[in-house]
Amino acid sequence: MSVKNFETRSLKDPDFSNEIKAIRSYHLSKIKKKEVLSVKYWIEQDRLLKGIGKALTIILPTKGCSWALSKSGGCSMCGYINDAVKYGAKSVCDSEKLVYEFEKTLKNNLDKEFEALKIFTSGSFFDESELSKEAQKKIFETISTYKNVSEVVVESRPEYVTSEKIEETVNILNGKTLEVGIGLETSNDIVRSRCINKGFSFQDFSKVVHEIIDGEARVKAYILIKPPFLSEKEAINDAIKSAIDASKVGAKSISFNPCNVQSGTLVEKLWKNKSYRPPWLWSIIEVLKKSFNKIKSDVDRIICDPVAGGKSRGSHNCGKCDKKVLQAIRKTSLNQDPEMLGAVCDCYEVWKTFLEYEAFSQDPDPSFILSL
Amino acid sequence: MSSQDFYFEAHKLDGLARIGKIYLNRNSFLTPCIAHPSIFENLWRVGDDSENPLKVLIPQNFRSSSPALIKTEKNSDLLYTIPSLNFEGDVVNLLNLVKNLICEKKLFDAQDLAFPVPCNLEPSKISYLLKEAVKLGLRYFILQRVSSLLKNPRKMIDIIVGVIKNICTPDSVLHLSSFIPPYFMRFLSYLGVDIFDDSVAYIAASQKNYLTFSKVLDFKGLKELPCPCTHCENFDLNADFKHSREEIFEFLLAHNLSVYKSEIRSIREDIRGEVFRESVEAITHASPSIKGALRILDRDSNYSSQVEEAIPVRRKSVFLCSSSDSLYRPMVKRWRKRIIERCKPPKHVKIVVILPCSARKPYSFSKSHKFFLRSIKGGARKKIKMVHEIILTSPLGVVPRELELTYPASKYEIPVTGHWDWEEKKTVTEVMGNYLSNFGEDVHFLAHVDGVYAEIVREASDYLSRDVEFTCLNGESPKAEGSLKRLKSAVYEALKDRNNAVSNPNLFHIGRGRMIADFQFGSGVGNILLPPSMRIKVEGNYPRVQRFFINNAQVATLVPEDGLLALTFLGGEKLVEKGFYFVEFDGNKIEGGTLYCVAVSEADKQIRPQDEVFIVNKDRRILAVGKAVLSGKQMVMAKKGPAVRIRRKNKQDET
Repeated sequence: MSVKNFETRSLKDPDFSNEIKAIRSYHLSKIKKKEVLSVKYWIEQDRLLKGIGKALTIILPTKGCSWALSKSGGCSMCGYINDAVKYGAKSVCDSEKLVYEFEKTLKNNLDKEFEALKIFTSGSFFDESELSKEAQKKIFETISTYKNVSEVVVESRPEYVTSEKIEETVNILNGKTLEVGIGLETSNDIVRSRCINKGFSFQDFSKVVHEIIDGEARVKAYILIKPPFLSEKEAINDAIKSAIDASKVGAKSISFNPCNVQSGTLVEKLWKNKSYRPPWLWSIIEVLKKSFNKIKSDVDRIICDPVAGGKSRGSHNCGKCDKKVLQAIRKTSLNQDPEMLGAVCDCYEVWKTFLEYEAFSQDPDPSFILSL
Repeated sequence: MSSQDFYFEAHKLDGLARIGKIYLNRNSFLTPCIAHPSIFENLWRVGDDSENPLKVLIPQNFRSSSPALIKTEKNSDLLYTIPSLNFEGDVVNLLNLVKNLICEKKLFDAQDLAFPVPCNLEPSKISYLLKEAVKLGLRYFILQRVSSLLKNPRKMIDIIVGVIKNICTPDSVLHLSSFIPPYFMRFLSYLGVDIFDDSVAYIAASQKNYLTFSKVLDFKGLKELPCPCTHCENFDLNADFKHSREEIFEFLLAHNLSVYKSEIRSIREDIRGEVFRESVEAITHASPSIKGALRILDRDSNYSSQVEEAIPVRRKSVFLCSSSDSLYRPMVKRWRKRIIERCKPPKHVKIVVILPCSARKPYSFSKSHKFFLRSIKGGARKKIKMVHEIILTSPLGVVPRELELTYPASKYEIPVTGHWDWEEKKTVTEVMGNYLSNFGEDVHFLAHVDGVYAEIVREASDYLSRDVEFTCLNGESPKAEGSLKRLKSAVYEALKDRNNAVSNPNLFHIGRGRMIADFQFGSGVGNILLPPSMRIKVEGNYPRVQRFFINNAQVATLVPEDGLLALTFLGGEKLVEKGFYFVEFDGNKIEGGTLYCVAVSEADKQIRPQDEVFIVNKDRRILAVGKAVLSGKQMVMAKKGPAVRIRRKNKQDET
């Protein structure tokens, strides 16, 4: 197995890891496992390299993210491992079966129109403990036979990405574009290690980006909007700076992920404890505006699709304007046009004021007073 | 910044609430006060609009900032703030950082640092964090995320009172940084918070909320501006459409800030005017969670005793009992407890006459009580000393005639309509039952009461299985001629066959002195100060100043203003011998008129603020007498601030 050893892995924060691990283990022990292999997929409109188009997303139920299953406890905001454990119990998720399921899903969707294919696991596609080397290869070989697919996206932590693997995959795909999505989350090493527990450094990320680019593939950088322990204002600045930094090292797609509250995570505990509130939609708008302004010419697309948008566990505003603002964000993503970010609501002023005073009160959410 | 430059002193207590003073270099200002957030400087300017405010830097987050970022330059009016915590896992790491800064690197004195307390953590973790911080000498605490407690009264009291106030020393400052609406300020002051952030004024203005002392109003729905402040007077509500968004924001902000400013002044004035508790009872109607929190604080015995320790024994204000919460206020509970535990009736008493209360205080100067007294005296004649009168009243329960001048019996006011609720009746019945159970089988109980009072007496009599003779019959009021006649003859009949063994004409006055001494200093103290075996002289006419002498040496004075005793050094010696009401000074000569906490090595735990106390040296020799500022426990805990205001020094001692 090829797993890179990053030096920064020794820069661990055991108390932080233990806390995350404890919360996760407890939660995982409560989950009722389903001994069925369930492949989720959907087709939706998306911003493709060519412009607006359709993408088929397929989620393969592997054993889940090795980082989340390791002693480290995984990332403070991520609960995707819950799905892996629930739907992909070990006995059913061997690689051959996954390849079979993948091919079946693809065949079933042949009659539908899509030009991009996103294949996600709840972890890293290139992690051979999730998908064997052969399975990875087989999947790409299958895709290469689908003529109308021009764009293939997979996700992986950087330690599983090697030049050889990229080269091999690009060869198999034979002219289709390969994009590797990497969860950078932030370009700030302190925030990534002490607030997220991500386990790799910005330097680790940069190295891998270069390898991918050299292999004639592309990099999509996922940027987390509002990691825990950051104020709303700090989070906005952190996301903008991270996008700039990621584009500088060569990421051509920037995907902003507003943090949402997932089960069995440290973020959930902080949220329940009133120490954390998911970002305001206004913050996302601010991040998008500034990012378009600063790096539009350096990247191919800046996208954002807030998970659980408008809900209390997801990015939200006052409740009245959420739908409207979410729509503006989605439209902007599709059209790559920041002019579409215009939306108004009374709560915009509250958010603006809150940004200035949160540092004093350290209350993440002023809704207590507002609701009175 | 040396440790001498900044400190806090508590000057006047009302339970957990206090007027304090922050000393900063050569300036000082009073608390409770406001901390204005200064967003351009990233610090609070503490001290209302003081020209020389205390500056407190806002905390960084322990995780997202690098702790090494803490600046090391020293500034004489600035407190640095320890990074703030979000979760339990970091408690030990944070404490290590603080220890490192103070003890190893010696970059800061503990006094130069503000310490954030995340109030949304597990109580046990907050408790651990605070205990360690107090051990390290930290005295400035920033209470964070208190807003998360405001909807849960139990949690609010458990954490602020049970943990924070319990652990922090009396000379620690509590600065609340959370978003709270203005009407929580008064209650949180009552819980001992000293400094309030007014950021909510800005947030509310941005939300178009118009704040008042008891509500958050939607500005858009207002037909009139309730407040007559200059901002409101100059704002034309009817021309609202003419104002830009910014103008409305500026107006609302100015008004909202003025609400905080006005409320904080009113809080200080109410503590100073000794009417704070009454004002807190009034504000409980603003929110069920304040009401709930006050109930828990008053009725949960752990908390009520913690509060009672710091409630003064006397106030200059009228004692208003206007709500059902008054029944459980600490001063009232203390009265009932002392009546039962400390006040033992004189041995020579053969009749107890139970009387209703009167609106006029002291009772014996009311019209009704003048009638009662005439009948009782007429019936008892020379045997009057064998009669013990007790007055039945809510919320105090029982007031023995001897204590009618004692605060708050002398100065309480209740709504008198004849409506009693179940809890009131139950409480008064219990107190009376307990008090009467002190009397032997040979004591005759007479009840000169009607209506609800009579019901209460009947219940207490059932509870005690003792007969009570009623003198108000056939629905006649106690003031009716028939009732008064029956009272006179009942007293006569009950005493007819008793031998009058009591001859001292001053006995009633001496008995009053003894009972007040028992009430004020503890059971049995009356007989120690004014021993039955000695010849005691009383000078002065009740209810004016009365002086008590033994062998021509004065031991005590009854001070009519609060119905408590002031003792001479002779009287004090008797108390101190018993280990009562002493404050031990670790020297021999006290300079000035105040004893400071720093010089207190030990003190009687029974001492409450405003108690008469004796300052003694290590050999328990009396050096001075005065009034306590803090409780006995607090003056030992605190390093800063006044412990006792001295009334008189022992001249003998100076030779």
